[in-house]
Amino acid sequence: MKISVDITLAVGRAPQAFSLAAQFASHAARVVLFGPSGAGKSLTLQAIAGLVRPDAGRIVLGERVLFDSAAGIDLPARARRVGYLFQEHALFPHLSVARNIAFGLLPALPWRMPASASAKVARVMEQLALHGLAGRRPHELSGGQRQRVALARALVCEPDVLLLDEPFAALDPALRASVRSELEGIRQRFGVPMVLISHDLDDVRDLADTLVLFEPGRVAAVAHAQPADPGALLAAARASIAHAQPQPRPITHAS
Amino acid sequence: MLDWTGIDLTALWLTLKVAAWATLIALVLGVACGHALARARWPGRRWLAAALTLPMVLPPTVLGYYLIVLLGRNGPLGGWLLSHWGITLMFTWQGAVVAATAVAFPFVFISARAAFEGVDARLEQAARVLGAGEFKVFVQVSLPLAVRGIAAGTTLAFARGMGEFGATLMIAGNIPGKTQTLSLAVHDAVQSGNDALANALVVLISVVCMLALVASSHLLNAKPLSTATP
Repeated sequence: MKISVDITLAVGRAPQAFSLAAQFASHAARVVLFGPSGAGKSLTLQAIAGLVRPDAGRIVLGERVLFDSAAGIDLPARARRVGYLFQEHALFPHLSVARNIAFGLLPALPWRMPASASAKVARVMEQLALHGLAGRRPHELSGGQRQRVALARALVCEPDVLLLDEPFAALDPALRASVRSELEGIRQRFGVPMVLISHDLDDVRDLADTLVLFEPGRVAAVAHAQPADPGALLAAARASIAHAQPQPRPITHAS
Repeated sequence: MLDWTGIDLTALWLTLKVAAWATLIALVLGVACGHALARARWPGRRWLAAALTLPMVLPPTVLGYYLIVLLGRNGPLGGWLLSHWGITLMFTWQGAVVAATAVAFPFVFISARAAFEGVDARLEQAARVLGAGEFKVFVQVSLPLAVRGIAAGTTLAFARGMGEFGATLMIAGNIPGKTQTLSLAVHDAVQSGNDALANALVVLISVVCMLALVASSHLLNAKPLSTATP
């Protein structure tokens, strides 16, 4: 996959105004957006998904131009074919697990689930170890199950890319390593590239082919993994933390 | 004390018919306006919301006067209805429906707006990313999650529509068997000194309104679906 992002974006009003200039490009299957809270990582991810509109710039995914202010292109979120995992999963609380997963496959007014959708839902539930949970409501699930339902709901639509907003932040630190490898396994099985937000060095070590380093309001550097030097990205991430430590940062309200 | 035999069932039936129609129309309009204004950020939205809430606080006579100006034979809407369709709403039960709709509407509008505002915006965003158009977001996400608040407001709207008096009197009159609803019948019973009938009517109306209020509070206090999951 090729993804290229070059956008500027301002949100809010003084004194909480925040402006972002984000630029990066990658051909890698796994891109990690790394940086402190409030740097603009989530805003960048939302711009890729079409949930916020940049003031100017261009976003290209594969061969498709998702946004191009100069050409007047701004695909609505529903037409971008991206899978988005929200921090708190954003499962529909009034729908069963099966209906949550089927959401993207159904028309606006479904009387009953078409057989083709049922089959797809059953298959993805099997692949994500969710069998037996079809009739449950989201609040009856564990944190890990909820995340797998959110993943299943996104993957069943066959997105061109998965966008994950701090997927492990809500998890117990002891669980993160196993969930991280589980996510990577699922991602490989579905053959879908991903862009992942994190401020955890372990995510960089395990999941980054391309590392995009954020400073508040901008992308400071982009580094690509080198087979000859597997520790380079981790070192770059460490260096950016060390670099950011001495100066106190202004508090920003966008993340 | 109470004279149940003297109760004119026509008035009860008419009251229920008027209130039911008014609630139905107020429901559709209130949900549409509440949804439109819940996420609105444009200037002037406060003024529009205030104007839509006005029928709730205006004296019924003022509201009735507005409706006469609008729907009377020489009014913009009333004149058009008369010249194009040959119908008039003045002194008809349909006119009473218009009056009851006007006073019932704000109850649905206010509660629907609050209920839609209470729906987690990320759920609507999640639906859009999953390919849903705005209609699908509305019918499958926003509406089901707001339905309890809307239902509670609708129950109140029904109770208010049942009790409507002032604007109804001005636009539909007080014609027994045609436009005389229960609240107008109470007025007549008191005026004519028929206390036993007035007592019975008052008890009847109070019981129905009490039931509506209890139903409304049940709907509002039920555990909201949108907070059932973190």
